[in-house]
Amino acid sequence: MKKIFGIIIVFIIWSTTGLAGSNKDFDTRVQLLEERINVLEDQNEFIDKKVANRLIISGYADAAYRVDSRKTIADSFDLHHLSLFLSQKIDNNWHFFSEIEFEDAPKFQATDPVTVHVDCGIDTICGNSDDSFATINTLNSAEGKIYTEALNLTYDWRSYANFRIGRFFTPAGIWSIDHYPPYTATQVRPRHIREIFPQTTDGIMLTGITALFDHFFSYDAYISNGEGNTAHIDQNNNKAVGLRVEIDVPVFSQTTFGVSIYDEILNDKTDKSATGLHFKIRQGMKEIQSEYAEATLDSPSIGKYQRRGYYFQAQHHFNNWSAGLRYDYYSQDTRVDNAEVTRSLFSSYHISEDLSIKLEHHIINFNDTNAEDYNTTLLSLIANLSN
Amino acid sequence: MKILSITILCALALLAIATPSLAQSRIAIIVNEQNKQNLTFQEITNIYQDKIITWESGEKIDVYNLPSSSEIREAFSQSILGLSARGAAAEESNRRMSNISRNPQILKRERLVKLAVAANTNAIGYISADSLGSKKGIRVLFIIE
Repeated sequence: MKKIFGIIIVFIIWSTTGLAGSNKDFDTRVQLLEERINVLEDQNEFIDKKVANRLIISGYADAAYRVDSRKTIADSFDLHHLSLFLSQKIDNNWHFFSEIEFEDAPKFQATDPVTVHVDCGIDTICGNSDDSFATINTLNSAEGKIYTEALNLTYDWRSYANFRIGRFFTPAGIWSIDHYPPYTATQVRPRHIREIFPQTTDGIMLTGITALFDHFFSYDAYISNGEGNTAHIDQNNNKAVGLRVEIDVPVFSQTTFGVSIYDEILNDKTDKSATGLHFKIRQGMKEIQSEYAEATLDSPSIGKYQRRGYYFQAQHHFNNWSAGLRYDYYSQDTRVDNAEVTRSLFSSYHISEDLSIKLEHHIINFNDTNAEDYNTTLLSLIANLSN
Repeated sequence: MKILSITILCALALLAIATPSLAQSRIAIIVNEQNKQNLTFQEITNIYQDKIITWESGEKIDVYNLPSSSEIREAFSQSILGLSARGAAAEESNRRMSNISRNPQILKRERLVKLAVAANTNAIGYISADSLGSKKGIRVLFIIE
């Protein structure tokens, strides 16, 4: 009995010591794993920071087939846009954004040659010719363009006040901001867009959004070189000033109303002031939007006149489909009867998040009986690059 | 040509109306357990529409979202934003492309959203209510039926 009891005691002591040993091993392994997790978390944080601050290249491209009822315009494939965006979060407050647009495949060597006088004894452009005149291609009349549409630095201070400097799209109405083909209803924009407010401008902007009860007010106020001075040295001392204000009210899925104003003296001394109104209402999958804009131009050479344009657009979205119609009016000079009315019918299908196809038909009528009315139909494919 | 175009457009519009919609899911809107701020349904909409970008504390909100192919995102987008998931993703993408995005959203797979929110005091996200499991580190703001 004593012998059995002794064996049990010895076994208990042995197993307890063994267990303690295995617990020690276990603790060591846990400690090693914890250290490894810390190292991985540290590496992960470093990678996250690198990824968040990397230069991002994205963009869009589109290709279309255009059918035009005018006999002088051939039906054609139209490779209109390739836009590349470069953006980077520089630190917690600053970010950089730029858009470079390639339009209509620029030719770096023009097709219309010019004749220049060169010394063919020295200049290699003569080839084997012994003439003192050579015909060369120049860049002067190259078609298409490579254009820096936007290039700016933004300082994000508070949601109600952010500061931007550089080249930016003139904030006016809806279409001047939401104008990228992957997200617009049609490839053809309403006629008055870019005719009343300039497309882009070089300057500084203060922008922000603030809430009052359930309403949101957003604004963009800017001073810039003005129309005709984008990508050039400013050719006058008058700076353009503009303001866009928008109120977002909690009615329906989305309801926004806005006002845009713009004032400047152009390079040819024309005094220009423009005003615009816009609204957008969305309830579920139905959406309507409208913009009205008017500019008063007082020119020393051709007198005082107005430009006026507006459109009304209704759209229905359903899963990956959209269909809608638009009525669009534009008058370049209200003193003469040259207004143009466009009635559009359109539909689009999102093949995937980054690929969509659009079909649009536009019927264009002119008040001027000398101008030829026409129809145009576009079938286009739009790709969103590196979304 | 005009008649052909109008016929194609009408056919596309009819196809749009005929396409079926997705089923509903229960969704849990979650924040970090240390975050004591309560939000209304409208405030969640405003956060996901990029209108509210900071918490009451002044800290920037880290907004977690799911890929647009996710059924949970489809249900969330329809309930909260009144849009399809792809429509909501397009709006977010348009804001980024137009350089007017104030607070870009962070995309994560659903199984990682809970972990990310539990690890980040400034985070907000949503997951399927059926996959909530342990609520360690998170606080549920709403369950949307």
